[in-house]
Amino acid sequence: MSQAFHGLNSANLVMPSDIWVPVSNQIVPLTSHQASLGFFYDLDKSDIRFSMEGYYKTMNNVLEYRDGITFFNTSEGWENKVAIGKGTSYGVEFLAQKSVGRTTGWIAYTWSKSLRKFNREGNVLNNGDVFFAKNDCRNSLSMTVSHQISKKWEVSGTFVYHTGYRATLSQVAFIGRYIRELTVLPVSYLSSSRKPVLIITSGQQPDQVNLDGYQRLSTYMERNGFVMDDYHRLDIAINYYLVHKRGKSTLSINIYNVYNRMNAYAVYPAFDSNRYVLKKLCLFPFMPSLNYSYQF
Amino acid sequence: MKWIFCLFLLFILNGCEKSISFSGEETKSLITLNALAIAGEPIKVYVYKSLFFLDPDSWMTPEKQTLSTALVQMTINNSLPVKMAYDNIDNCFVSDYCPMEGDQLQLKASFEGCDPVEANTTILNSPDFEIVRHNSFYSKIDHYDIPNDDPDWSGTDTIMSITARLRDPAGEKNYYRLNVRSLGALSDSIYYVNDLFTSYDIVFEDKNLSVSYNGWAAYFSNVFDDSIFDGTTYDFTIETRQRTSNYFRPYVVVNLQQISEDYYKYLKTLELYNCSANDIYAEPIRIHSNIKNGTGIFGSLTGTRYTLFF
Repeated sequence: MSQAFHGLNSANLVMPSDIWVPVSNQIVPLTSHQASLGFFYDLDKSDIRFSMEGYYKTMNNVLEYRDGITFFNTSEGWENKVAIGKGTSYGVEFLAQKSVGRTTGWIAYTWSKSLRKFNREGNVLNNGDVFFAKNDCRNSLSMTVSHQISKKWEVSGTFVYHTGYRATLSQVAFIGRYIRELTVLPVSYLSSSRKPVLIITSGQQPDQVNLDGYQRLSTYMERNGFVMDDYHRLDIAINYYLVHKRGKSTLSINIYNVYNRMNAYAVYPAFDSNRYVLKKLCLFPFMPSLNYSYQF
Repeated sequence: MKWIFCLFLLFILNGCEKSISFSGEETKSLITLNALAIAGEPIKVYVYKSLFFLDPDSWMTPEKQTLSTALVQMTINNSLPVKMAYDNIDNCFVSDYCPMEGDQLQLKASFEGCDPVEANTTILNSPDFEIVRHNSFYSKIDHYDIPNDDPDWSGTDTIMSITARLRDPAGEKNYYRLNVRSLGALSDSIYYVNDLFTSYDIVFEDKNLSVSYNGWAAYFSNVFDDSIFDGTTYDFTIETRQRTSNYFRPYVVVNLQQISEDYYKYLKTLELYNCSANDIYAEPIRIHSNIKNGTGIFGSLTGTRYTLFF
């Protein structure tokens, strides 16, 4: 298979993003080969259908962001901010589905693994070693049940669970040393060092080369090595159907994330009570809504 | 009904931001080595212990993170390893041996509770580098040249333009760092110094450095490789401003340094790191390291140096 659009996932924890980018004269199309094998079985009496399907997929010309790139304060084209490499993903999917009767629904479970390798010259990421893709999600489970109580009332529920997404977290802090460069800093960097002065003691040379500069650095050891907390939530909906002379209408009460699970959208280091901690941001906590629709 | 209302209100007022405990596997402490082998100069090895990034101790000064009781050994050209002594003044391990060009050096360090580490480097030949010409000219000082219009700013209205020539060896990948230090002095011990220089030459362009950092212009780097002039003679021109000097005639030291590949990669990731340090939306960076089982860098540097007077 070949596709002219690339999915581009940010490994940044603070503002994770998934965007689609087109091919260009610098970015070649993504090509892939996929093999799959499936079994399907129908239970005649209960209208329940079972399926199991395994797949193995290899991808070429997959895109990932390069280390350290940013989309702010820059005029560089996006093609210079990405690296091109290879990917492999495989897994197995199970599905049980009931689509007839007053109670319908399905249960789906997927076990999968998604890997990346970027070792081409000029496109090396993670030292050229294999690493997990951002969307590598080992276990994924979703259940949907809908029950028709009467002609007017219907209740349904959806439960979603998957292993947390991956991201890159620079979790090793160390002292890095470098040859200090004494510079006259521009206005934006104003500090006490606006006029670099070198105090020379006996025996020293003003142009001596040594590792006298130092700074606290933080680095990651494995790209996408950090797994965020598992994601799960339960949604419930109650529908009331009305039939009018002209058309019909539905009044729905929906509750998204019933038990207010704080699923992390973004994770970032911050200070809390003078402690350096990780914080997570949840975009959609418990969220009820009322909906009325009229069809005619 | 009241109970349901209270529960509803509790959910609504619940904040979307929450402190969490780190749920991943904490990386155990690694030995960090920082050393630069320079031809003709004794080697200093700074040895630290890496820490988990949320550990408050990771913000402490280097002196407090130094592993002064570590066992550090250096092997020169596959000879017997020599134990390095700890220097309490510089807080580093030192060796009396001054490496020569072509020397192969190996560092090994061990400390209780950490995996032993080792790293290798080779002392490179000094680059074939010469100054073709240099001249000074008047350049009006604009107010934006002077940080905060500081009346004590040490720059003058004179700029030196320097054209230099580099002969790059063919058939091998070479890496360079150019240091241009403009010096003036108030007395025999107080110097006015500036390491910043400017150039329009493409060799100093780095597309990854999209913002200005540490005083350097955006897209500019004084660390480069020979990819655009491999095996040829290459001329480039740079400019630097004179510093005020009441004590001696102001001068510029131009030092082209041939650096090891690992040190080049370390400096490049460090530049990128500093470039994106204030941008929380930037992609994370893996600081290059050639320390096996550890972090840090063991690099080598050999320079060719010229002194030019204004």
